Amino acid sequence: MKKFIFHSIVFILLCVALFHIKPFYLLYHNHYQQVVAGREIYYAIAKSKVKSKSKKVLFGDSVARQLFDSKDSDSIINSLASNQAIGMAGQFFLLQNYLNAGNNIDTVYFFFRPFTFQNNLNQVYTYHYFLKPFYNKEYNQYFTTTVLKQIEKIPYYQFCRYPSILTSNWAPNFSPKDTDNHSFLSPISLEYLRKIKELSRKYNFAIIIMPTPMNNIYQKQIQGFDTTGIASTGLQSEFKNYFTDIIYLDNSQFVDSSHLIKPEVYTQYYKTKFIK
Amino acid sequence: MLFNSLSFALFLPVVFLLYWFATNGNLKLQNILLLVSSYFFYACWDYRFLFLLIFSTLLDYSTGIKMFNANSKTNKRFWLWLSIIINLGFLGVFKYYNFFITSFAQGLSLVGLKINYTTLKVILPVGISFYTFHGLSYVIDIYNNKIKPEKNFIDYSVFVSFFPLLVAGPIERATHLLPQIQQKRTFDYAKAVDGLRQILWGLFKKMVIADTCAEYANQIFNNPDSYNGSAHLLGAVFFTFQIYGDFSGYSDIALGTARLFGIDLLRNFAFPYFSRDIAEFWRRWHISLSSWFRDYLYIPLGGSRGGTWLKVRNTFIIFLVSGFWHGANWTFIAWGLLNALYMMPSVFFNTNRDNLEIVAKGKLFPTLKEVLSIGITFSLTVVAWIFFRADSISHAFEYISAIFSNSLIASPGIHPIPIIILIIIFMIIEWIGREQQYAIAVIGKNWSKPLRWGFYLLIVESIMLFAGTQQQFIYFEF
Repeated sequence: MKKFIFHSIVFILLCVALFHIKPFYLLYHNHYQQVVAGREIYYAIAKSKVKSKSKKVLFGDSVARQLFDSKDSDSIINSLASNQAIGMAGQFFLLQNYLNAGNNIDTVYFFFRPFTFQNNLNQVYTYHYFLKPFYNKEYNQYFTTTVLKQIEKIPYYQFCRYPSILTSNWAPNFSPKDTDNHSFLSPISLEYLRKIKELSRKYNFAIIIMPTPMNNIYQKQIQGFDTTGIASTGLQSEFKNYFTDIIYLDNSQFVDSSHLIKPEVYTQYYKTKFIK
Repeated sequence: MLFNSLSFALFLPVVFLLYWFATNGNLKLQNILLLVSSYFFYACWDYRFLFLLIFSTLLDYSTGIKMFNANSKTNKRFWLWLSIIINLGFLGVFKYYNFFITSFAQGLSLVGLKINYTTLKVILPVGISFYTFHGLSYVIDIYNNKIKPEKNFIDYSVFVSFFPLLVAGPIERATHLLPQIQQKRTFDYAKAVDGLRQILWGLFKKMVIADTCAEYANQIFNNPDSYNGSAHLLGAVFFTFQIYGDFSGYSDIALGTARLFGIDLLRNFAFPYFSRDIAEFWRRWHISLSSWFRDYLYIPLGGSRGGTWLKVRNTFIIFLVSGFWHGANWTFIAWGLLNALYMMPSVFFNTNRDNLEIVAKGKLFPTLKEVLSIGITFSLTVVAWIFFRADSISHAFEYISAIFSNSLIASPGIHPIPIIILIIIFMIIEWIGREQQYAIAVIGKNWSKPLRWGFYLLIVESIMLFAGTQQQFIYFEF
C-alpha cells in the first residue's frame, strides 16, 4: 500500500509539473491566446487597446466576424467582432478599452444575431469565453452586481485564471437553470446596453445596431420575442429597424444553422446599407 | 458527478483512502463505506431519485427472500412476477410512457381518430435501466435456484448500487459480484496499478477520442443540409468512434475504479471494431447487456434449440428489445432491427460461432481475408449507428441517401486531419493491445520505468490538450 501511495503521489506530482510547465510556457508572451479556443476574443481585446485611424468601429459575434473579420484591415471600419459568448458585458469592455486607448469614434456598429442579446452569461461557454479573458483585475471595475452574482453560479469560477486552466480549453460542466428564451434582452444585456448608451452620450458617438443574416428556421422564434426591455436601454431609436432589417435565408445557406457558408456574399450588402 | 469531472477526481481518492485506511480492513465497515459513497455519488446527480433506487433495492431484496421461502411454485412465481412488474413498471413510467402514449395517439390519427392525452414531464432517473437489470437478474436467478437470496441488506445494496457501475454499467450478476462483496478484500498493488492504468485509458478514450469526434459528428448530423455525401460518411464514421470511445471509455473507468477497491467487474468491451462478423461484434460490444439478454431472454425463449425459424424469431426479439432498452424512440428499434437482419446470414448458415477468438491471435498483422471481414463488419456497424444517432427514422434515411449521393466522391468540405490521425493512432494502440483486457494493459510493461511513465504522461498530456468542455457520457441517457 505504501508503495502504491508513493508511486501515485510521484506520478501525480509529475502530472502536476507537466500541468504547470506547459502553461508557464504558454503564458510567456501570452502565447496561449493564440492556441486556445476563442482566440478571436483575445485578438479583439488586444486590438481594442490599439489606437486606430478609423472613426468607425464594429463589435459583433461570430457571424458578424464571418462578414467583418477582425483580422482584415479595413481603412473605413475597424472590426472588433469576436464571439457571442462574451455577452454584452464583454462587448462593453472592448468598447471601454477602445475609448481608453484614446480612439476618436464617430460611429459604433453593433452587429449581432438576435440570440446574442439573450446571453446572460449563463451559458456552458461562459467559463471559457468570458471568465478566462475578463475575470481579472483589469475588468473587475466594470462588473455589475448582476454579473458578479451570475458568475458565482458557475462552478470553479474562482479558478478560471489559474495558469493550467487559463491556458487550456477546459471548462466545467454547467447546466444553466435560469435561461429565458422568450425575452429578447437578458438582464445583463439590459445593464450593459444602458452603459453603452451612457458612453455614447459622454463621448458623442452614434450607435447603429444591425442584425446578421439569420436562418429562416428561427423566424417564428425571433418574431415571438418579448422586446419590452428595449425601452429601458435608451436605445429605442437604434433598435427601431433591427427586426425588420433581418435577412432570413434558407437553412442550406448555413454551415451549422447559424454560420454562413458564403459570408463574403453579404459583406458588401451590409457595407452599402449601413456603413456608408 | 461525471467520471471526467474534478469532483470525481476529489471524490475517488477520498473514498479510496477511507476504504483502505479508516476501515482497518473490516469488511462490514468497507461495505458500509461503499454503500454510503455510492448513495452520495448518486445523490450528486439528483437526490430525489435516490429514494427510487433505495425502493428498488428493498423490493428485490425482500422479494428474493420471499421467493426463496415460498412454499409452493405458485407463490414463488407470484413474488417473481411482482418484482418484474414493479421493476419494469418504473422503467415503463419513467422511460417509455411518453413514447407509448404519443405513438398510440399517432397510430390512431392515421385512421382518423384523435385522442387527448397528456405526457409526463419527468426526467429519466439516471442509471434506472442499469440498476433495474441488476435487480431483475438477481430475482430471476433466485427463482431459477441459481443463487440463494442475500440476507445481508448492506451487501445486497452494494451489489445494486456500487458507484462505479451504478449509472452506466456494466450490468453485473449476483453470481459474479456478490461473492466479491462478501469476501475479505486485501490491498493488491498490481491490481490497483492496473486499475489506475485502465482509468487512464478510459479517460483518453472519452476525453480525447469521443469528445473530439463528437464535435464533428454533431455538426454534421445536426446540419445535414450543409454537407455533401463524403462529409456525411465522415460524420457517421466519427459517430462510430465517438460512441465506442464514450461507452467503452466509461466502462474502462468503471472497471479500473472498482479494481482500486479490490473488486473485478464484468468486462464490457473486447475490441468490437476488430470483429469479423456481426455475431462476433455482439460478443464484443456491451458484453454485459448482450449476455444479460442471452441468459434472461434468448435462452428462456428457446435460444438456438428448435430449428432455424425459432432462432430467427428469438434473434429478432432480443435485438428489438435491446434496441428498445436503449431508448424510447423508433430509431433505436430500427437500429435493433437492422442488427437482427445483419445476424441472419450467421443464423441461417450456423456460422455465428465461427470467430470466437480475437482476430490474428499471436500475430502482428491480419490476413487479407480478415482485413476484408473486419472492413465489411465495420461498414455495417457504421450504417447501423446512423439510426442510433439520428433524431428520427426519416432523418436516418435522409442521412444514408445523402451518403450515397454523387457527392460521395467529392471533397467533404471539412478537413479534420488531426482527428483522423488521432483515430489512426488510437486504433493502432488498440490493435497492439487487442489480446488484453484493455489496450494498454501490457503496453510498456517490459519498458524501463522512465519510458513507461513517459508513455503514461504522454496520455495525460493528450488528455489535457484535448480536454474542452466536459461532455456527458452518451449511455447516461439510457
